[in-house]
This record gives sequence, structure tokens and C-alpha cells, in this order.
Amino acid sequence: MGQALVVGVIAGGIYGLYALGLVLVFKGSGVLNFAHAEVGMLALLVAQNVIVGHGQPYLVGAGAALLTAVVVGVAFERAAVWPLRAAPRMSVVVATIALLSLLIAMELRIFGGLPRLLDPPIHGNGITVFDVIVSPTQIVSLIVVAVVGLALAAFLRFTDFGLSVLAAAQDQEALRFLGIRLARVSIFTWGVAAALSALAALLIQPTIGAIAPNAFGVLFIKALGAALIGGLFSMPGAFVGGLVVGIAEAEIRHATVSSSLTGLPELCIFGVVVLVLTLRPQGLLGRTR
Amino acid sequence: MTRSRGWVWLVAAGLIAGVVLVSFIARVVIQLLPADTRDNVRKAVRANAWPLGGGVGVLIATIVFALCSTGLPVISRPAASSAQSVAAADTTDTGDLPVDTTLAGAAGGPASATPAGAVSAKRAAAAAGGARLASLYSGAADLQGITDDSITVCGHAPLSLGALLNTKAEDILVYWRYINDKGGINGRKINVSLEDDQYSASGGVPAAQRCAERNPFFIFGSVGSDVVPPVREWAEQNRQLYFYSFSPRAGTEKLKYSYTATISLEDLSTVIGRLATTKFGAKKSKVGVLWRNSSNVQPGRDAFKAEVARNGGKLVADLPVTQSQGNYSQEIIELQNRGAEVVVILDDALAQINIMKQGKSQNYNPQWLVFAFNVQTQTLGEDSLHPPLAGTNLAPAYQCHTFDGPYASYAADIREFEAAYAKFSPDTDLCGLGGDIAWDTWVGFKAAGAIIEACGRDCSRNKFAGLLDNGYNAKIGAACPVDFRGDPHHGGLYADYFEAYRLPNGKPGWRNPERCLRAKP
Amino acid sequence: MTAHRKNVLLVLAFCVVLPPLTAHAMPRLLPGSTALTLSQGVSLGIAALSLNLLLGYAGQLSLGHAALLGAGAFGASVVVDRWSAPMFLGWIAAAVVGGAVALIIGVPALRLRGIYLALVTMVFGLTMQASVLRWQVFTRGSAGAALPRRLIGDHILTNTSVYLAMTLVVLVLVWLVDRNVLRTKIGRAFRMIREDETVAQAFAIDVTRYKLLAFVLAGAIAGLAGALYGHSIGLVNSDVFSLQVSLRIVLFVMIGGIGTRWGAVAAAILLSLNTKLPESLRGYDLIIAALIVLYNVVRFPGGLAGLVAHWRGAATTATVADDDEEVAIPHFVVDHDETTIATDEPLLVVEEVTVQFGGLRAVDSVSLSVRAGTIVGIIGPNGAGKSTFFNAISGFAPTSSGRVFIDGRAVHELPPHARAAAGLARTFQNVGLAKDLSVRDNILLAQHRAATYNGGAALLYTRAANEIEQRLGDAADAIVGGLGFAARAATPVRELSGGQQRLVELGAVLATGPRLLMLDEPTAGLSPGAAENLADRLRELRDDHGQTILLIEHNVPLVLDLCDYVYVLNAGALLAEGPPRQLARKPEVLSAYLGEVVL
Repeated sequence: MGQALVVGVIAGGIYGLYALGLVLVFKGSGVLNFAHAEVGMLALLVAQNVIVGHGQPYLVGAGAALLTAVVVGVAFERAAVWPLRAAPRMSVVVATIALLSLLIAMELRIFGGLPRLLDPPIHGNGITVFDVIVSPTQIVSLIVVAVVGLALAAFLRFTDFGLSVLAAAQDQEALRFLGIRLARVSIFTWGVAAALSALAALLIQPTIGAIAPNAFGVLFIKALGAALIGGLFSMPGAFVGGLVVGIAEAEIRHATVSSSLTGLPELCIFGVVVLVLTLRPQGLLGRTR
Repeated sequence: MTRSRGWVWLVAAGLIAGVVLVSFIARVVIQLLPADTRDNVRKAVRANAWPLGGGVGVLIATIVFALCSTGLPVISRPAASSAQSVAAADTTDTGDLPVDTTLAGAAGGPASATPAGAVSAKRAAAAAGGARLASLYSGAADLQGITDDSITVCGHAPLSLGALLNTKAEDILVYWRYINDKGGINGRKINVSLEDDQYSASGGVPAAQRCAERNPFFIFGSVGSDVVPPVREWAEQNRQLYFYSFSPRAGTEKLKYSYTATISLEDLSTVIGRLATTKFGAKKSKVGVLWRNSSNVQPGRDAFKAEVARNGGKLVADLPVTQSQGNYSQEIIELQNRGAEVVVILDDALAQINIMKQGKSQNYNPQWLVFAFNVQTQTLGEDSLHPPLAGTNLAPAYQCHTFDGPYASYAADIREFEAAYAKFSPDTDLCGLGGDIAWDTWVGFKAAGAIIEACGRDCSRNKFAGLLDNGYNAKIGAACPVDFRGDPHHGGLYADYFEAYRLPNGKPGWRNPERCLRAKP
Repeated sequence: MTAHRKNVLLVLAFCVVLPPLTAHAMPRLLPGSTALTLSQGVSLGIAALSLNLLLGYAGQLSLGHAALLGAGAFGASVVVDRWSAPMFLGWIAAAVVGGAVALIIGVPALRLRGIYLALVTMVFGLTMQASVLRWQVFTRGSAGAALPRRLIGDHILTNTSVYLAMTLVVLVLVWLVDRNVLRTKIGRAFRMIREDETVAQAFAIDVTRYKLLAFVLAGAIAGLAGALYGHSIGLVNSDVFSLQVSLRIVLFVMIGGIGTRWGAVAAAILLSLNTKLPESLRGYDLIIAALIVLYNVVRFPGGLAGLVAHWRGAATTATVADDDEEVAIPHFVVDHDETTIATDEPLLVVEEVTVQFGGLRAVDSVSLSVRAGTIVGIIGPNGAGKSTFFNAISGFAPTSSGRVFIDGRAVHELPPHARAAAGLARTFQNVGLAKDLSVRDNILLAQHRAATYNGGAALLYTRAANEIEQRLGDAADAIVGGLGFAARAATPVRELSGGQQRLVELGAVLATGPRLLMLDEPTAGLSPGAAENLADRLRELRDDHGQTILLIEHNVPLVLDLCDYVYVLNAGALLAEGPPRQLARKPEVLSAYLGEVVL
């Protein structure tokens, strides 16, 4: 029971990281980015190629991954999001769907559909804490998630630029009057969201095993479930949502491990998503708008 | 393609009967309806008489047309065992391990110029020589894929999975280039091609279909408990000779066109069950099994379970996993909670590696019992020795450039293998992840080659199948014996037992403490 | 040759000629495996048609279409593999299962718009792939479900060219059904719903029912496509119907142009041949497809509707016609089944209707009655609650209390489309028409109530349906001609001037043959001359045709001149009522209102 909880919390933190990116974009541009998880997958494939294919150290690969993600995010923002800033939001959503297809097609073309292996950077035995075993990779995961989450929150709340990002979601006209360059805010939003996706992908890779295009579809569901619990408007809410999803998933899997009915956590998340969207669109934690 | 007259009448009668039945039922139902609905229905039918009639007519026309133009399978007469006369004994049975026996009287008749003449000449010669033929094909189909100087075969293989293990198509096919370089088999060169089946249940049939277009002598299939069964069905419907590798036996009872020289999943699982309960000390009899959730793998799990129970072991964890599940942390937690000391994994190599690695990171190190590949010892490194991995496979252990110690008994074969690769594919890294894959396929191909050779100069598809139907058995190269006497479609009875150990150079490798284990001891 | 007869001949021609032609020509042209690949492409083309129906007509974006295909394929597998039935029965089962599953998605989809619907469908698709479609009870786990091409008994169709012919036949049939959807009331209802659900309800279209119908139809076709796809391979497991397949179908539809059928099908078939490309080129096709879609979305940001308008090749040289200063408003052509005689019985009775938004009472206990064959006007200053009152009567605003009766029948519990079906027609301030449809199509749409054939007859385009459509078409032509738009019958309404749009709207609401005509500021935007003209026409309608009219107006002199009875609203409450002459002298009316009027 405790062990399952640990697994759930670690995974939940990563889902929260994914959800953070989703919510950031939703707040900033009013758009749900369907390609969010896939950007991370592309970054991961690049990392794998650099580390295993070219024999570089792990950090170099991770850096390449983050760079790739940011480039993709910013490029998409310039090419599609900014020109469509006055258009109905549905158009931008369709653009993200096209981006999703594009990313999958590119991954298949450049890297092929074969599954790939990537070793986590840290080996070694786990430590035992309160009867529960935590592996070094999991510890690193936890630390990174916490640091990044807090750093982002601090940046958004305590720096001028960060505040303008938060405010952009509320009222773009007012920002324009204040002389803040909306373009910069938009670039930042999409670039950071992409970087978050890449980071989360790197962190979750050890638990997923092989990397293959479109293996992240399920991950998108979980990120979405997490974000919806927070109502798509609240970043702390998204984080909490991630933890909830992670723990629930671990517990459900734990309880049904001998059953041959697969995918029960995903089914539950689906049910939650449908219920939330139809009955309480502001999310379980959000306030009524 | 022939079809009996009677069948056509039967189908026509059936159609008419069907129409009558349907209209009768419709009439009864209409009677049961309340009056106004009935009027509405009648009005609707009358108003739409044209489209309704047209639609029904089209449906019937399409059905009739399809039936008439399909290649209906010949209602095959019973297999050769009862058909032809029994002539001279076809094998010299020298005890348990006969070496390279060939069919007596296989020295066929004079090669004839025209194919038609060749057929009859070959048939006559074969019959004269006492060979028993299967009756799967007639006419030109019997000689599909075989000419005076070549045989064409095609196979489906998981090229995608192979690429993961650094193995390309060219790496695998070296055996045939080697044989062709020596003059081929019985004076014929063997043309081999491969199609990618993507290691998926839905990839096998399209790959086999592409193979079929080359009109091969036979189609061969490599491993895949999910890939092979649909191809078996397809081969039966399309009347293609299919020679497959590791697969469940379930579902093959009525198949006439499929053969295998590999041990079945059920039998191998029985062997594994016995190993799990008897090899690791009486104390370690708490067993767990992780098996891929598929109705093709379940018979293996069932056989394994039965054998464990028969040997007094306890199955404490029976965990189905999804294909490419990736994350096994919950299963490992469950295994730990249940105290499983010996854990068997019935899934592909990638899943096995993932499970073992994730177990390691959760401080869980039971006695793993897997399908033994070098990729495991090389990827897990030192971890594969604490405790030493155990496993089974269909060809004996291989370590590059090592001919002594555990490998001495088949050193000659290893040398032949490595020499061939040095000559024809020097780029293949036999010391890398794909080395033993290449070795395993070499061993398998060598067996196939031996059977083709046994078929002789007057070989035909019926003769090839007949060879197996009549109990071909042999020990070929380093492989365990092939024996079709018990079941003409299943000639594989043995598997090798593997154990990880430390090589002289300090790295982990595999060796065989025991060879050629049977399901039924 | 009637459209119906053409339909039947087309079906026969394709279905009887195509199979033998294909089956005999194919083996000479293509190897068996190519025929197999093509049949997969055709199946995906059928799936694209299904998504096109949902997206192009009904405006619902589904990203989980592969799950519907999968449901159909597995349904077919149960029938063909476990129960050993012939393949054709499997196809029917697949369509049924697909429709049923789509219905399940459709119910929550009623409440969701745009982005959220896309989200739910995508999650649905992914979830099905990860869970249900992997359960052994349905699909035997990763072993997958077998889909033999069973003809009957043990006889399996092995000839892939024949199978390709069969899939082509099914494609043609589905195409024809789709065409029938498009040109009957179902298609028009879909497109109206997609544009504006409120206006759709005003035309007596039961929006909920039609939305569900859209899902069920699309689901049935998708299920059928899934079965065809599965039969071509012979086996399906959960990996076959993945998110990638859903996305590909979306790409096909968007490349082909939303609303054009052949483009989507052509894209599907062509892109299925990518396995025949040499290794170096493989994979670029999807990249290019995605880039094209991305480019289109960015270039034409009018949303999906914009994409439609562009692809239909609509005359983007939208020369907005000159305002109709000089154009006399023509006589309306009215085709009334029921003759209304002015009696003393009130046609419309409204009792104490109250509309409350939070703490604000927009309409406070207002009562009203309209006698048949009269023109009644409602006037009042801005913000008096006139439009809200209109909405309350027609069912578009929820009332916290009050009753509404039409012809003595209580309608205050009925949804808006039911009140429209009871004979209530109304106009809207922002012109209640499907702006992307042509003038003629809008008039046809308005006659929804008169299209009395049912859904099944529409899909099959039976002779009865054909007759009714002909009749409606003739009536529409008459109306359009009567309005003076004969030359512009095919012009999208969006391209007309404001005044012209109002005219068309009037023609449309009259085409519904209403018992009560409710006009919301009909002279807004008209020049004084045109307004007079319109008043003459309304008078004509009342005198010659006995039409009952209730209108809201700001043009007080016109109201006083035209109406038989007038109600004055102020701040949500009824200030005064009575015949116009009397009202004009009442001091409270004068003080509350007349200051705004420029005489």
C-alpha cells in the first residue's frame, strides 16, 4: 500500500508538470494544446538519439531535448498562434491538432516507428524509507518537479514579466495600454509550456520503458485529467490534480493488478473528464465563473 | 479450381430456402402488428418498391458473383498417410539421434525439359522411389516456387523489433548466401526474401500476402505468439505452405498447410514450469508468472500453471500484462508482496528487460526465468548475475569467438557460422546485441535447409509436405533433434536450458547446463 | 427523369457493373496485396465520409473516430468469428454497434461545444484503445479479433480484388446516402444547427434529436468502415485503431475540404498507397498533409466555417449589393393550408409571464392576447424588455412564472422547436438565417415543418420523399422569385446587404406557414420609403390572407398606423394597452416614451 502510494506520488508530480504546461497555455492563449504531450515525445526522441546514437552524456541529451521543445513551441507560436490571435479559439485548436499530426508524422519519418531504449542517468539501489523503497531516479524526479514548480510559481508571481503573463490571460487590452509587449508574453508562454513538456517526458521515461511515437497519447489523457481537476485556470490546481491522478492511478492499478481487464485507470479518468466537462466545467477545484 | 456440382445446387437451394424463410417470418411479424402500423408498413413498402427490390437484387447479385469468382479451396482428400502405397522404409532409424538421414530413393528421375513433363516424371520417380506425397496441390501449383535451378522462399519477420536489437534483414539471411555460394541445395540456389510483420497480430497477414505474390515454394514465419496464428489461418485459406517458428499449438488441430519444427508454447511452458519448481532448491517453490494478456499466450500460462501444480510448487502471483505495457511497477510490488522467489516472464524480449530493470530499481531480485537472449546479459550487465538469470531458448547459447568450455560440443557449427559471416557480412557485430539473434536464425535456417535437401532433386511441394507427414526426424547441426513422427505438423519437441554465468573476460554471458529438454520427460 | 429515378439507376449501375469490372480488371492491373491496401484506403475513405458528415454538416469535431471504427470491427468480429455468420451480416452488426456507441458519446456531446467536444472524443478514443479494446472478452487481448471474410459456412473470400470491388460498392452506397442527407431536410437541419442553434429551433428543428441523429449516422457509417477495414486485414487488435488513425481521418477531411466528399475520399485512397512508396519518400505524405492543414487554418481563420466557404469556391468577390432604396418590397407569396378567419377567439394568450435573471426582473408579470387575423404591436423605450418578452413567448428565455397559449393549447412547457411546430414563427434582431447557405436553401430550410417524410425515407430518398422535395423546391422557387431574388437564388445570404437579408428572412418565416408571425423590429435598417412599403405588405398579409402578426417596433408612427392593438412596455412591466388612437393620448405613454420619437 505504501509502495504504491510512493509510485503514485512520483508519477503524479510528473503529471502535474505536464498539466502545468497545459494550463499555462490555456490561461495565456485560451487554447487547449492537443499537441502538448507529443512535443515532449519529440524532445525525448532527440535526447535518445543524442545520448545513445551519438554517445553523448545524459545532460547534453537532456539539453538538446529542452532546446528542441522550445524551438518547436516558439515556432508554432509565431507561425500559428500569433497570426490567429484575433480568430476564434477553435481555429487555434484545429491548428494544434494539425501540429499533433505533424509531430507524429515527423517522428515516424525521422526516427522510425521502432521503440527505443534509454537508460536513466542514475543507477544504483534504492533507499528504504519507512518500509518503502525509493529509487534514486524517483528521488531526482521528485526534486526536479518540486524545484521547477516552485521556480515557475515564483517567477510568475514575483517578477514583472511573470505578472504580465498572468495578466495576459485576463485582459489583453489593458496590457497593451501598459506598453507590455504581448508578443513577448505569448512567446514565453508557449516556449515554457513546451519546455515543461520536454522535462516531464524526460522524467517519466524511466517508468515507461521503450520510447515510440504516439506512446504518449495516454499521457495526454492523464495531463488533461489533472488540468481539469484544477479547472484549466489554476496552476496550483493543475499540480494538485496531477497528484490526485497519479495516486488514483497507482491505487487502482494496485488493486486490479491480477485482473486481465486492462486500462481501468484510464477508464476512470475518462469518466471523470466527461463528468467534469459536462457538469462542472470550472473544474473540481475551480470557482464558478 | 474445381467445385462439385452438388455444392452449387446446395448453395442455390440454401438461398431460396433463406428467402422463403425470411418472407415467412416477415409475414408472421406483420400479422402481429396492430392494424394501423401494418397499413403504414404496407404503404411504405409499396411506395418504396423500386429501391427495396433493387437493393435486394443487388445484394443477391453480389453474393452470387462473389461465390462464383472466389478461389474456393479444394476439398482436400485425406493426407498421404493412407493414400499411397508403402514402399521401402524412408528413414534409417539409428537410435535416438540419427544424423542427417535423407529419404531413401530420393535420387529422383531424369530432369525433364518441360514443366508438365517434369511434373509427371518427378511424380513417377518419387512414387517409384517409395516417397509418400501429401495431396495438398495439383498441377502447376505443386511446382510453384521451384525450378530446375532455384527455389524461392519468402518469410515474415519482425524487422522492426530486430532493428531495435541492431539486426537488419541482411544480417539474418547470411545462411542462404553461404549455401548458395557452395552451389545451393541439390543444385538449386535458394532465393530468400523477408517482409516486415511489425511484430503485431495485424502485421502478419499483410506481410504474408506480400510474400505470396512472389509465388514462393513455402512461406516461413519467425517468432511471435500473436503474429503467427492469424497467418496460419490465412495460409490455410489461401493454400500456402507455411513453415513457422515459435507459436502456440492451440488452434492448429485442423490445419493442413502449416508446419513447424519448433517446440510449441504449451510444451515450452511445461518445461519452464518444471524448471521453476525443481531447479532452484526445494525452498524456492513460490512461483510468479507475468504473461502477456492475449488468448494466444494464455495456453502457455495454463500449461505452466498445471506443471507447477504437478510438481508441488505454489503459484503465488498470476499477473497478466499488456503488450508494450512499459511500466511494471505495480506488478513488481505485487510480486514482492506475495513473496515470489522464482518469476517467469512470458512476453517479448523488450518487456522482459523492462521488467527486470524495474525490479532491480525497486530492490526486487528474484530468480528470473526468461527467454534467453544476449541482449539481456549485455543490457543488465552485472545485475544479470545476482542471482544468475535462468532461461530457455530454441538454439544453444552463443558467445562470439568462443569455442571452448560450454560451447565445445558444437564448436564446429560456431566456426562455420562465424566464417560465413566474416565472408558475407563482415559488418554484422556478432559480439553485439544481435549476435545471438543471427546465430539462432542460422540454426533454424540450417534445419530448414536440411529438410529441403532431404526433399531431393525431384522435390515438389507435395513431396516436401509429405516428407514431414511421414515422420521426418533428424539431428541437424547444433540444434536439438527434429522429430515429426509423433505429430506430422509439429516436429519440435525440445528446448535448451540456459543459465547466466561470468565469462572468462569478466562479462556475463549464457551457457547451457542442460540441453534438449522435453515437455514429457 | 426525376432525381429519385436517377438515384436508383445510379445505385444499380454502380452495384451491378462495378464488381465484375473491378474483379476482372484488378488482377491484371494490380497485385493482390495492392488490392488489399486499396481496400483499406477505401475503408478509411468511408470513415472520412462519416467524419465529414459530423464535421462538415453538423459542425461537431470528433477526434476519436478510430474508436468508432474499432467498435464496429469488433462487433463484426463477434458476429462473423464467434457466431460464424456471413460477412455481410457482420457489416450490418458493425453499423449497429457503431451507431450505438456514437449515441453514447452523443449524449454528453449535447452539452459540449467545439473544443470540449473535441477533447472528450479524443479522450474517448485513447481510452478505448488503452482499455476496452484490449479486454480479452472482446478482443482476445493482444491476439486480436479475427475477421475472416466469410461468405458462408467455411468458404472464405480469398480473392482480394473481389473484396476491393465489394468495398467500392459499399463506398458508393454510403456516398449516395450521404448525398441524400445533404439534399433533404436532414442535411439542411444539420447545417442550420451548425450555424445557429437558436435560429434552428425557431424553424421547428428539434436540435437535440438532430444532433443525436448526426452522431448515430456518423457512428453507423464509421462502424461499417471499421468492419471493412478489419476484414481486409483479417484481424484487428487495439493497435489498429489508434489515435494516429483518428488523426489521419481528420486530416483527410480537412485536406479534402470540409463539406466536399470526393476530396476526403480521394485523400484517403491516395494516402493509403504510401506503403508503395520507396523507403526514402515514405512518411513525407503525412507531413505534407499536416502542413497543408496547418497552412489552411492559419490562412483562413474564419474558423471551420471559413474553411467551408473557401473550399466551396464561394464567390469571395462578395460585392455586397446596393441597398434597396429603390427596390419595392414585392408581394409575399404565401401558401396557407389553413385559412385563418378573424374571429374573436384570441390566437395567442400570454398570462402573467415573468422572466427573472438573478435579481433582475426583465419581464414582470406581463399579459397579452392577440386575436386571429390582427396585427398587434409592442412598443416601449430601450431596455423595456420587449425582446426578452418575445423570447419568453417563443421559448428562448426561461420564465419563472406565467403561461402561454396558442389556439387554446398550452405551450409554456414546450421547448422552442415544439412551439415553432405549433405554428409560431419569429424573426431575430441579427437576422435568423443560415448565412452560409444560399437564399433558396434558406427558404427550403424554413419549410422544415412541411417536409413530412421521416428520416429513413430521407436517407433512402424514396419516391415519396422525392415528391415532397420537389414540391418544396417549387414553392421555394416561387417565394424566391416573388421576393425578387430569382437572379440571386444561389447566393449565400452572407453576401447580401442588411436590408436584403431581412427580406429573405421575412420570406423564410412566411414560408413556414405560421399561425402567428412574430417580427422583431422588422423595419430596422430600412429607409422610410422601404419601411412604408413593408407596412403595406404586412397589411396585405392581414387583409388578404388573414395572417396574425405580433411585432416589436421603435417606429411609433408606423405602429400607430399599422396595428390593430398596441401594448406598451416599460422597465419590464406593462405600462398601457389599447387601440392605437386611444394609446397615443394617454399621458403616461407620452411621458415615458414620446420624448424619444422624432416625428
